Amino acid sequence: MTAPLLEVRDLAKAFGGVAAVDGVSFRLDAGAVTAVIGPNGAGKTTLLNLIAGGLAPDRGRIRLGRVDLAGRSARAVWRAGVGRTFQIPTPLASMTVREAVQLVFAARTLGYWRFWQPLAAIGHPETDPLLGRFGLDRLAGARCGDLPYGTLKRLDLALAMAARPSLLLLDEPTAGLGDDARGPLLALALARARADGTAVLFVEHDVDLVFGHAERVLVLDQGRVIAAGPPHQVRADARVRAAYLGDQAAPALGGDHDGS
Amino acid sequence: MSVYLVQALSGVAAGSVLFLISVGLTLVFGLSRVVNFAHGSFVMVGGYLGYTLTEAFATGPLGFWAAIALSALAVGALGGLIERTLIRRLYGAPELLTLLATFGVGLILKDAARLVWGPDDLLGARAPGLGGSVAIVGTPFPTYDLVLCAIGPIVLALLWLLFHSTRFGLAVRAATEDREITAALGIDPARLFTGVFVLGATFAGLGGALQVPRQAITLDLDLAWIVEAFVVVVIGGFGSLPGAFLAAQLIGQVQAFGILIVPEITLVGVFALMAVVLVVRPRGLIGGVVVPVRAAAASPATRAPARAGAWQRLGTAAAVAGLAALPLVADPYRLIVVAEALILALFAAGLHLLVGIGGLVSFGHAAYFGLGAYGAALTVHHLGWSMTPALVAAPLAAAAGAALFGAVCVRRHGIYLAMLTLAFAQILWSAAFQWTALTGGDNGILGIWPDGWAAGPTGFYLLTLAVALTGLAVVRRIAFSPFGFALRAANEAPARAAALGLPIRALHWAAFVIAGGLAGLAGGLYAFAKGSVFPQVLSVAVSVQGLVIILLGGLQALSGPVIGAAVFHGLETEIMRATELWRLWLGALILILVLAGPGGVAGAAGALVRRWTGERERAAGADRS
Ligand SMILES: Nc1ncnc2c1ncn2[C@@H]1O[C@H](COP(=O)(O)OP(=O)(O)OP(=O)(O)O)[C@@H](O)[C@H]1O
Ligand SMILES: [Mg+2]
Repeated sequence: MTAPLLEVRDLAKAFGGVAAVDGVSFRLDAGAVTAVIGPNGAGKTTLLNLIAGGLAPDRGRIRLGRVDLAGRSARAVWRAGVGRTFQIPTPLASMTVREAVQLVFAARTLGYWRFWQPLAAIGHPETDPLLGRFGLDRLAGARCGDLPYGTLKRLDLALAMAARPSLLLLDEPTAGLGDDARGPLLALALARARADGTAVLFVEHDVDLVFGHAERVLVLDQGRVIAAGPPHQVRADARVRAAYLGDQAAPALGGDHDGS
Repeated sequence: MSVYLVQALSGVAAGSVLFLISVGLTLVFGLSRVVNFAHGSFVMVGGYLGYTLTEAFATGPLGFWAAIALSALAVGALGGLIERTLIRRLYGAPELLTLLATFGVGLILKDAARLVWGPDDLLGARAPGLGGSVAIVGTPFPTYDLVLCAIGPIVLALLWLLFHSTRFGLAVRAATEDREITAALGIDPARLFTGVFVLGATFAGLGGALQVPRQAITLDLDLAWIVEAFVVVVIGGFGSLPGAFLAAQLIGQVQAFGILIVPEITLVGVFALMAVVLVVRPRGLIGGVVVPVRAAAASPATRAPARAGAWQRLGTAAAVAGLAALPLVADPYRLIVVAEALILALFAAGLHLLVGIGGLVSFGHAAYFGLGAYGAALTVHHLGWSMTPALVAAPLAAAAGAALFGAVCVRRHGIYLAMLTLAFAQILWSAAFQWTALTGGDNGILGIWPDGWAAGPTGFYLLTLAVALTGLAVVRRIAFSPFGFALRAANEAPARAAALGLPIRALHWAAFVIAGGLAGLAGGLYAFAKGSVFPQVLSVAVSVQGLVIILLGGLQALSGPVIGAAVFHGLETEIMRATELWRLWLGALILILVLAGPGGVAGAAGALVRRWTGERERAAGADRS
């Protein structure tokens, strides 16, 4: 058995008196796909934020390969090879889709310390392929601030995956989308991840999507893991049914504690 | 020994007055998050009213105190009027807009006071029955100041009672802690806000009126007091009542003993104290409210920056050609006016990068303008340099200052950043005032003339034009460089930018240095344009001027600072020629700008052009939520 890509051990974070994440441990292998589910306020976004950096845990460890990520800055975590999307993405409103992507590629090589040459003139050979892969090529000239919500989420995904991270964190990638757009977006993300060998940890409320796509499922409730395992096993778990699957009447948009 | 005691007592008296003046600022801020720059104007109006009323009624102690109380109440009523008509439109607006709008109110009140009471300083009579002094361990101490010593703690106690035992006070405290709670308590938040604003204005008016027997009442009291009140609010903690008291007393003591020990740097000491508190304890001495940093969505610059189309290029080329040909047609006076506008445009261009693109609201950009101006003047005056090397030294001095101050400022955001930048500008301003050996203090540095080839109006105009255009071109390049985009990303979507590995703090610092350098270059030119430098180049008014210009021109495009500077300076020159009351008009202009929206003149023109060319505005995120 090889060492896991991501190992989270006894992770905890409280806000005031609220234990948002309370002793969470799990592992994620390279290239694996794990879903995180749980009722609103279960601590899913907080868990992702802790891994993604910029939010220091009260205790616990986060190891990515050999690197300890706990308490590091978002920038350091990104450099370690982690990409993330946001539950509610904020657009880079004044830029075109192409410029946003070019900026991401520039960021990979510290290109933002270039003050003179226009971004547009520098370009990057991977820009067009990336736009194509995420179906954004026809929108390359549109301003991010003008994009419809679904396209914005797709762009957020493209930006997170531009650097081909080894781990991708997706916070409710399909929330706020119409029924016909949800499945395809998650499928797109997972297909791209598979092609790049990227491991995925995704938060999702749509139970059908979770059980259709995840290899493993982690169920959080009040900051704790109440079940973990392959989908069929989790689906059968009595505690999960009580805590979560029972009240899936309103699956769509959850809270908005997105750290942004 | 008794000298120290008396000094400490006069510190307590000064601290008492400072507390009265600051308490409204901190309470209003805690409740509504509005930084009311016009708060100092309430002090000034209180002083003038106090003067008039005490002159009329103060034949005996009863009349005197009645006059003081009446002044305070009248100022409270004025505050209520302003809150109802204007301030309430600003709740929830970005800091830049609230600061500017309330600054505009201050300008209007200043000219109103000038209309009523005239431009001369007014010296009030002593308080009846309290004009003498008492001996404190053998050293005389003014009786009136002894009364002031008592008033501060009494007001603190009364306010404490108000906030802990009345329904109104409890509601205010609850709402200060938690914005959402007012609705749950079944209290009308609008009345709460008005009530606190009136209360604050009343005490500011009281503080001003109480100064009548101690200090000449002048039109400059507003800025002098507002800056000190800011210091109190920051040191005490935003929104904290006991914090304001403690901080006011602390500053009273720093000033009282500073004068004994190192009279040259008392002012610097106060602002340095504020900067240190902002850095190490941003919540202040007695935990004030934590001010959330507003999301970029609320900042004014989230609309797309304009990019040059063919028409814009043509327009730019025509404008440059026209400016270059101006000496052929314009008289020397016009050339000087246009050169000054170009200097302002250069100053504002750096601010555009910092505020418009980077979203960092600097409320002390005068620091770098002044560093440039003094940098140039000092090298000429003390080192005997000629213009060209002095004009190189100016931006370097300013950039060095910006690198130093910026390293501290970029650790904070939002209102904290604005206050830190203000603190640093005030430190330099007071140093320029008090370090007379180096700067000449109030008398300034004279005789800073351009080299022979640039000495005439045409020569200097062409020099200014060349430098300003170069500066603008540099800003334009930077705006569209990867750095510019990274800066924009950090402003528009900070979390996204951090998750993409952008080093936000370093980017902000670099923007600070660049903007500082450009301001310094403008300041250097300004010194040679005027032939002299005075501490006023470092004043809050200059910082605000820069912000007004970029707001006037619109934050979206680099044409903003240029158009803004042209309109602003044009108006300023014309209004100043036509009337004494230019502040009133400028204040009104600022209010119109803020209430009309952040697009500025350029934005309004751009919208017209877009409509004209048929380009439809697509509603941003129409299907969101
Ligand atoms: N920055 C914060 N400050 C204070 N409390 C927070 C913060 N972020 C999250 N919380 C609290 O922590 C708990 C977990 O929140 P979190 O956003 O992680 O839940 P979630 O599982 O993502 O919920 P949702 O499904 O609604 O997105 C909630 O009680 C929330 O109120
Ligand atoms: Mg969430």
